[in-house]
Formats: sequence, structure tokens, C-alpha cells
Amino acid sequence: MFKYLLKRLGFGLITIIGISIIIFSVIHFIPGDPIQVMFGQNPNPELMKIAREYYGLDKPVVTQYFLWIKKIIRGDFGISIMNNRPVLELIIPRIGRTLVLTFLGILISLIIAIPSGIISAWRHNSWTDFTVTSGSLILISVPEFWIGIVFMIVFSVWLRILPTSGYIPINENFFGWLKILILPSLTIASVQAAQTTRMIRANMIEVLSLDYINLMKASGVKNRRILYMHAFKNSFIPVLTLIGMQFGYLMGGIVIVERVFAYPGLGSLLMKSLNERDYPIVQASIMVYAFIFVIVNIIVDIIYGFLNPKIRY
Amino acid sequence: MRNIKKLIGFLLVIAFMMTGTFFLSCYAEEASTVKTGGVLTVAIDSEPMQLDPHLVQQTLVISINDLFHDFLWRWDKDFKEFLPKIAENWKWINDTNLLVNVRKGIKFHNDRELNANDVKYSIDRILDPKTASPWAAYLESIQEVKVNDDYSLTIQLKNPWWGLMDRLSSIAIIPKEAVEKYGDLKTNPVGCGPFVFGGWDSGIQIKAKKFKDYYIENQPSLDEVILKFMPVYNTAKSALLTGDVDLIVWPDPSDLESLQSNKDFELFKYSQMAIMYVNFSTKSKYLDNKLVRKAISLVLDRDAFNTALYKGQGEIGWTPILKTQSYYSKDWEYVRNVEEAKKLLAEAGYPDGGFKLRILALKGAEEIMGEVIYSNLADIGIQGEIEVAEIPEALDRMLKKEDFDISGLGDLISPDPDFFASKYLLSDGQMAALTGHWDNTEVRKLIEEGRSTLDEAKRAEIYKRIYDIVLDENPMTFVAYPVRFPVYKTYLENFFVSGDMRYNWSEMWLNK
Repeated sequence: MFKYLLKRLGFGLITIIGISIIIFSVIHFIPGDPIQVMFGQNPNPELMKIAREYYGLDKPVVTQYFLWIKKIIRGDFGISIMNNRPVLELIIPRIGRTLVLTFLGILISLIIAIPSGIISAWRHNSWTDFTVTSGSLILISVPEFWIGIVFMIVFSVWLRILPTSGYIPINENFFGWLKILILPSLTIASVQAAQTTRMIRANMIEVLSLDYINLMKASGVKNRRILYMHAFKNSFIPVLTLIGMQFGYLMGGIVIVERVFAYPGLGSLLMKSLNERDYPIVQASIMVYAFIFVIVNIIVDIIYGFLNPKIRY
Repeated sequence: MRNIKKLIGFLLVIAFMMTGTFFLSCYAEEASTVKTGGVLTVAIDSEPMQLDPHLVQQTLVISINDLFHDFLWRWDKDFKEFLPKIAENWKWINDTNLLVNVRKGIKFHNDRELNANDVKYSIDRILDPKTASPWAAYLESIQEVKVNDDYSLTIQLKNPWWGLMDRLSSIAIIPKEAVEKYGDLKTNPVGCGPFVFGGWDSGIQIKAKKFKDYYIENQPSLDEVILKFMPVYNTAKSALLTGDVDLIVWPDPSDLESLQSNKDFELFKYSQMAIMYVNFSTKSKYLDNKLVRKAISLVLDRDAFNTALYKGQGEIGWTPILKTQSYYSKDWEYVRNVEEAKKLLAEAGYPDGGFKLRILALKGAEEIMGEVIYSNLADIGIQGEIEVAEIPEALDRMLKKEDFDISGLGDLISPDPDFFASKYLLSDGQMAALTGHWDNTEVRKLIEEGRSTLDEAKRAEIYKRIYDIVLDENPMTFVAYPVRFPVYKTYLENFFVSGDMRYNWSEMWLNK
């Protein structure tokens, strides 16, 4: 197990180095640069040259890459070109906020998806099944920003029970913080729950038709025990892969939800920085995503082993 | 007895009248007295890049910086004359020397009194190439700033220049020690404006707290202004409906009717001092022919631009000269004429059009201009190909690579026509790449003459001639003056924003 973990971490490191090269090249080769954005409609070639030299953007891309890596090894992710703030100071709080939103979104989605998926599979081809499957189909088809705005109109504008948007730090007001998180996490959860429900339902239907389940039924094992202890556990492995993928997707994908709810997460910072070509922030943010993605995949692999004794490393 | 009754009656009437007068006066006082205190929460559509007033020219940052900074003088509401601010008064000694007397007793947020050296420092900082300030080009005609004493200075020009006072009306006066302390003011604005910087929560908000030592008595009225970053308009609108914010500075034009019909909201419609234009790369095949450019200018439907961009609420524009200015000429206006345009194309050797042009459209609000151009070109048989690009890519393609045929954009204008002309209509101007470095010897001569001519009548003649040539040659053509309509809750009083997007933050107050 330990050997396996080391091997995975080694591969993870190679992946991250690969990503760092790709992202550095891509961001420097796409049209536009931060100095051009800074000067906007008042370009001045001489002053822009001075600014490029100041930020080291006049050096060859390969040199810039190695300088950047050298700094990262020392724990220095650089400063934002646009406002001179240290990159880490800008991204660390946002990593936490995006992680919280992602966790909450997935948690709520599981709370909805597990019972819905199981009931839907157990009552296969019934009205309950039809309602769950069509409901999830609708939620998958509707764009997230639309669901977010509908939630906002219902819960904030009509019912006035939740704030529309923004962010309150947890140490300032815990309940305020929690209230702020409800609508964005519900928005994320609704789409994710739909996907997970469909996956659980499909796997459960397959598992429930297997011989050992019929044997249990014939032996008089209670339905609840069959469903939760045997069928669900065995149909959960593909679902776990889905959750792992969802987690990776959500870390980057919730940028739309972050924008709709003016939530200051990593995704919205990345989008803003990309539009300003603020290279140090873009590079650091994508490295964070890559790192989290690698870690989540390793964790998912470890959980596989616990769920299925056949899988051993 | 009767007299006593009369006396009592008389006293009762007096008492009644006095009571009535008292209540009436109370009511009148309440209706007219400015209330102090309260927090104004404003939704802004994006987070600024940074806040150093000398290092960035984003209109959003200029509006925000009015909270923290002040200026020597400002244009009045009609852009006719300058109102004193930091400068108590000023006097042109001759055509190239402006004497400025600085008001005494103005304090910076760091508690130090502002003096003439700070004005000199602010101008010198912008002009210093090491600062790499985008404002530097605006002040390049300044030869030197001489401090006469603590409250007096003389600005020397290289040559007579009408635009000096206009440009200086946008230059924030800052304390040197704050720049030395922080390196720059990108995230630590220190000035002498009505509000003190109260923090910037990245991705969330910027806070500005009342500056108690502001030099204008009884201002600001508000205790605090919070600017919340809300990139999605529907979110900002929901927040306005629920009272989470009090003001949205940039509503979506397509929502105008809904906003107007809501009794809780007030709309402040104003013409932004800017112009929307369609520019032609005169280096491109086909567009190097002036007849083709003229044909396209003639077929562009200004009403369609106004409808697409501002739901018809904007104003059609023909030049970057304001219609209220004496330099404006009605001769520049014309009616869209498809037949005439077709004739011009035929004269140019393209009887049915039949060629293709690449339209570079800037992603965002201006994107729709690409669609209008596309559809107008089709009317004379020219096939358009829309290429949408985000701002950095668009800037790169337009200014660096000059890789486009036509594009539609907007830019700020000024009461000084030289502001726009020097930037776009000189082949080496800052934005000349947009016209494929179009060059016209007469225009160049006239621009140089206009810049240093102080006589208004002569200036009017010069700019009339410049735009007569431009509208004939068409390196670019103008389509609309933008309109903006910030929307706010009815309890916000005395809201005002000028055409150059300067908010009167210090005079607004909350009537609740």
C-alpha cells in the first residue's frame, strides 16, 4: 500500500510538472499580455517596454519558466502583475472558499442522490422511478446559472430568507457565512445530484438483478439490509469514480456559480486574471487545481480498496 | 370680561398658529435637511485591476478613485468652465505659464497638510518614464512645474496648449510619502478625497470610510461607501430588490423598462462623454480604397447601433465632438443611403460588392456592434466574417498585430477635441493602428495647430476642417454617444454622475 502510494505520488508529481510546462507555454503564447491590458486604449510603446522589463516579461519564455520554477521551489509564487499583491495571499483564502463550496455541494448532492437513486432503482418502472428520472433529466439539461438565478429570485427576492450574494468570513459571523453558502451550494448540488442519482439508479438496477440478491431475498433477508448493506455498497464504486471526477470538475467548473453569487472563490479569480493576463495568478491557480485533482484521485483509489476487498495495492 | 375672552381667543389663535408653524417648519426641515450617516452599498460590475490613480485608466477605477482622491479643479456639469477644488484659483500669466494657488488647510488621509510640492510631485511622477504611467502621454506638453512657495506653483508648457486644464482635472494629487511607504498606491490609495480607504477584500468588496478632515465643510454625508463586485447583472438587480445594495452603476440596457416601472427605483440617465465608432484598417485590401470606406460609412445604420447598444436611448454620433460644443457642425450629419453606397462601391470597381471583410468584435457589451456591421455590409453585397475576441486578444490583434479589417469600439472623449484627434487621427497616434496608421498631411498640420490655438473661433474652424476631411476620407466613422443609467433606491438623495463618469460621492446622502 505504502509503495503504491509513493508510486502514485511520483506519477502525480510528474503530472504536475507536465501541467506547469503546458500552462506556462499556453498562457504566454495566447494573444495579449498584461502590459497591453494595463495600458488599454492608451498604449505607449516606450513606457510599455519599461513595464515589460520591470515584470521580467521581456525575457525568453524558457528563461521565465525556469525563473518561475526556481521561485516556486522556494515557496514564492510571485506577485500579481496587476496589483502587486503576493499571489499566495490572493489565492489561499480562495482555495479554502472554493473547497468549502465544492464539499458542501457534493455533500448535499449525495444527501439527495443516494435515497433518490436507491428508491428509484428499487421501484424500477414505477411512478416514483419516473418522477426521479425525469426530474434528474431536467436538472441535468438546465444550465447552472439559470438554476442559481431562479433560487435567488425564490429564496432571496420573494421569500427574503437568504442573502442574494456575496461573502461573509466565518470568523465574523458564522450563521451569516452559512446563510451565504446555502444558495450556491444548493445550485451546485442540484445538478450534481441529478447525475449521481442516475448513476446510482443504473448501478443498483444492475446489482439488484444479480443472483446473490435473489438468494438473499429468498432467504428472507430484510429489504433494507439487502439495499443498504449489500446492493448499495457494491454499486457505489462507479459512483465514487463519478464523485472524484465531479470534485475535480467542480473545483474549476463552479466558476459560473461563483460569478452568479458573487462568491469570491478560486474560479472567479482565475477568470478575472485570465482576462487581465495576470500570468502569476493564472499559473498558480491552475497548479492548485492540478494538485487537488491529483490528490483527489489518489484518495478515490484508496477508498476503492476499502469498499472492495478484491482491490488490493 | 369680554376683553378677557377676546384676549384668551387671541392667545389661542396665536398658539394654534405657532404650533402649526412649528410642525410645518419641522416637516420642511426634514424635507430639505441633508441627513448624515449611513452606509451606501454599490454594485459594480467588475473588480478593478488596481487603484493607483496614476497607473491605470480604467473608467471604473477613475470613478472609484473619486472616493479617495481630489483634483486641482473639475469641469462643471455642462463642461463649460472649471470649478476650483484643491486649487483655490489660477491665472494664465502668458500662453505657456499657468499660476496655480493651492487652497490652505487641505489634509491628506495621513494627516499631513497638502501643499504645492504635492502637486508638483504628482505631475512629475506621471511624467517620470520609470512610473510607466498611461497618463504620461496626456501631460507631455508640460515643460516643468515650479513651486513658488508652499501654496503656489507655476506650470510651464513647452508651447501653448488649450488642453492643460482639461487633463489636469483628472490628475489625482497624492502624497509622496505614501508612495514611498507602499511602493505604489495600487492597493493602498492615499489621497485627500472625501473617503479614506477602508480595505479591499479580494473578490468581494472595497470599503471607503468617511474622511473626517475633508476640506469641504459638512461633506461627505455618508459614513461609509461599500463597493461590491457583482459581475452578473441579474445578481446585482436581485440585490437591489432585496436592499442588499442601494445603487447599481451599470445596469443592462435590455432591462430598462423593468427598472423604469419599479417605484422603488430611480434612474439617472446621462450621456457618457464617449463615442462609439467603427474603424477601418486602411492597409487592408479593399479598405485601402477611400470609396469603399465611404460606401460602408454611408450604409451603417446609426439607429440600429443605438438600438442594439442602448435600446435606442443613446444619441446618434457623427464625430467625437460633443453636440453641445461650439466646435460641432450640423453639416456632419447625413442620412443612411444604401443606393448611394452601392454607387460608390461600383465606382470603386466592386459593382455588387462581392468581397469579404473580417469584423473583429470585442467580447462583451460592444460585441453586438459586430452583428450590426455584418448586417449593414450585407446590404451592399459585402460579406462579413465576425471574429469575437476577449479584451487582451482584441488589443493584441488590433494594436500589435493589426490583424483585422473592421472593428467596432468605443473610447472616452473630452471637451478638448485634441484628446481624441491626437490619439486616433495621427499616423503615429496612440491608437493609430486602428485605422491602419491612416495619414493625412493636412489633418496632421491642423491637429498641431488646434492643440496650441487658444482662440475659440479659430479652434472651431480648425476642428470643423479636420472632421470634414475625416468624414470624407473615413479612416473611421462614428455611430453613437453612449448613454448610461445608474439605478438606485429612491431613498438615495442628491445622486449625480457627470458625463466623464465622476460620481459626487461626497454629496450623496441617505434619506432613511
